[in-house]
Amino acid sequence: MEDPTEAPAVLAPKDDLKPLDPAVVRVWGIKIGLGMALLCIAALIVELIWFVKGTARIPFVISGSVLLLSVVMAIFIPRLRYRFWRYELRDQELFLRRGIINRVSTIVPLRRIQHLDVSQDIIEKEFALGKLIVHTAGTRSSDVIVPGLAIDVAETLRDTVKDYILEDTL
Amino acid sequence: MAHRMILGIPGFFLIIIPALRSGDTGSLVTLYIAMAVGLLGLPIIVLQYRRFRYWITPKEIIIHSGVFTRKHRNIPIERIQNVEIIQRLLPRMFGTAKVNVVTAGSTTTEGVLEFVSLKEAHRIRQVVRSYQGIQKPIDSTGTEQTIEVEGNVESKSGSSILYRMSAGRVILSGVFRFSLFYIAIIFSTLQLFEPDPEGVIDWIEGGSLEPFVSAILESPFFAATLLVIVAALISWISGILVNINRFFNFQLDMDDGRIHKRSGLLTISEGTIPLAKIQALIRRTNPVMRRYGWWSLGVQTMGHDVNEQRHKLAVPFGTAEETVSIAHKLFPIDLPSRYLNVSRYTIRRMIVRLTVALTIVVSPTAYFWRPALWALCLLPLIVWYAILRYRNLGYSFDGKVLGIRKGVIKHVEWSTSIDKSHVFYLRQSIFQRRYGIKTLYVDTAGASPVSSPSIVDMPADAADELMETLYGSFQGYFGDSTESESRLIELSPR
Repeated sequence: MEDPTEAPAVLAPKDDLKPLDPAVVRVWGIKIGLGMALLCIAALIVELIWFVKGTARIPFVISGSVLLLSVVMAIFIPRLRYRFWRYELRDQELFLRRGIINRVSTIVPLRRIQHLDVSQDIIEKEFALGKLIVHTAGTRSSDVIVPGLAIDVAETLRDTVKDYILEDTL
Repeated sequence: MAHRMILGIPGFFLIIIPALRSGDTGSLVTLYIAMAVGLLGLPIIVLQYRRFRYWITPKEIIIHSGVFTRKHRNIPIERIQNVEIIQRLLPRMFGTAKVNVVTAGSTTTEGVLEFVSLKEAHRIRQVVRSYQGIQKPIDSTGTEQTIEVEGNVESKSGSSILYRMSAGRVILSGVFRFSLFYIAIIFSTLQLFEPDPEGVIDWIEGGSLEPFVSAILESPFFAATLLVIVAALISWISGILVNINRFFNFQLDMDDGRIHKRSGLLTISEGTIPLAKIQALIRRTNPVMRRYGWWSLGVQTMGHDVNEQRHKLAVPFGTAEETVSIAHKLFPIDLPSRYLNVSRYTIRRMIVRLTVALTIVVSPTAYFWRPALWALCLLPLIVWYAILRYRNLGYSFDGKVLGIRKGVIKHVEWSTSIDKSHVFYLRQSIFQRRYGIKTLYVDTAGASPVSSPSIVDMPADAADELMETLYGSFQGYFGDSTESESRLIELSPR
């Protein structure tokens, strides 16, 4: 329980925990950029129609501001997200702490894990990154995700945690 | 061995009935459509019937179905949580029932066997139970290994009745259940019949209701009041009727580590829940019920099917003592009686949140339509709501039992044993950081995704401390932390 001499408290200060792989900043940046690009294109099409019709008061103001916003978002959100993401695999639990606006700390007891996945999408593959996905029986935590791990780190984590999976956790 | 059984399905003609009945009212066109549907539908129904097969083996239930795409479904016996038997009115007249095989971890009922005879339904349940009994060494002691077929629950030898609702109590429970939901249903059915408004007016004017009609025409206020009273009365009465239909002859009994319930007037439903699968207990009441000391008690199990919620009521309507004592028999915990308050900042947070929401809705509307500003009169209501919510919010932990009380108008008391917790969350938004408060949430299997039992807005340090304590007790429950390897293997899940 709470014994300062033996084990550290479960909710350890941020500095003791591991950060994600820095490359994840670029992955997140690309993903946000791609998402916002769709919005930009949509705005651009609308404004092009206005422009051709001659009904636009100031041409391309909306798509311009959307573009500006997406550049800002793609630069700053990943950085902030990275700054606040921490994780640590301990011998009893997986501990996560994350969130820019909503700070969330999560304790996933290893004995509660139902099964594990390591996933990697096409952008993550470019940067040799992967996600560790931990499935539990809890309603809200049917999948707890640790993103932005070097793929070999993710696989090592998976193999370490795999030994803890019980037959029946319910 | 002879465990493999191909089971026939009676009640084939019953399946045709919906096709025959569809659209037998009205004009020739609908008749033609009905005939077309019948011509197309009938072969499909016949095929469906012919293609539907199920087997029960010691390991699993196998269901083959489907006409165009054939589905083969295997449900492992040990994953079955509950076998429900539901008899709706029409199938009941033909002596058939529907069997729902409920498993963990799926949002819908996985195995549905429709139109089996009642006898067969009971046999299926018995077979599943006895196979589960064989597989689980814990249950095998004292379990009858023979597959017995019995239609009557009362005749069972080893069971003890935990709770039974008399007719009077069923009606009383309906009296306390007030829902606007049924009004909506009634009005939508009225719309189906499309009563001719002129005809109704003629009938009213010609009848003896003359003084009423003139009064209604003169005063819109009187008309509105009358409408509200009538609507309330209708919903009240329909609530009573629905309750009678649902809980008529309600009986809860326990045998060999399972609870078994049976109730219903037109639709009789039966369900069994293994005690070991119960994750939490939920006690509910509303202000009127609370005034007279009435509560309901539900159990939380795996499987998130919303439609199954009502099947999880162990005591639909009982006194506080009854719910507490039955709760103790179902789940090895004592329900907490005292709750600690959360931070008072929760009032402020709720007021801000609701006011912002109201402003977002009202301001654009008011831009086009001035009278929308009257919605701002709701502001005092928001304050009242937030204060009431704060008063009902509470939590308690005694080293084993975690209890959370919630609700604004309704009261919900959710309690679980710490060993049933799965994942622990501590959450702090920007607003919460300003006021030094946090939200703690312990995730459990089968917890409701909409009204989750979280402790909102605790003082931050108290939340941290409680989190450490909760997780410490959780670890403590599962033994000494030093010998983790052996502990993991020898653990027998409860």
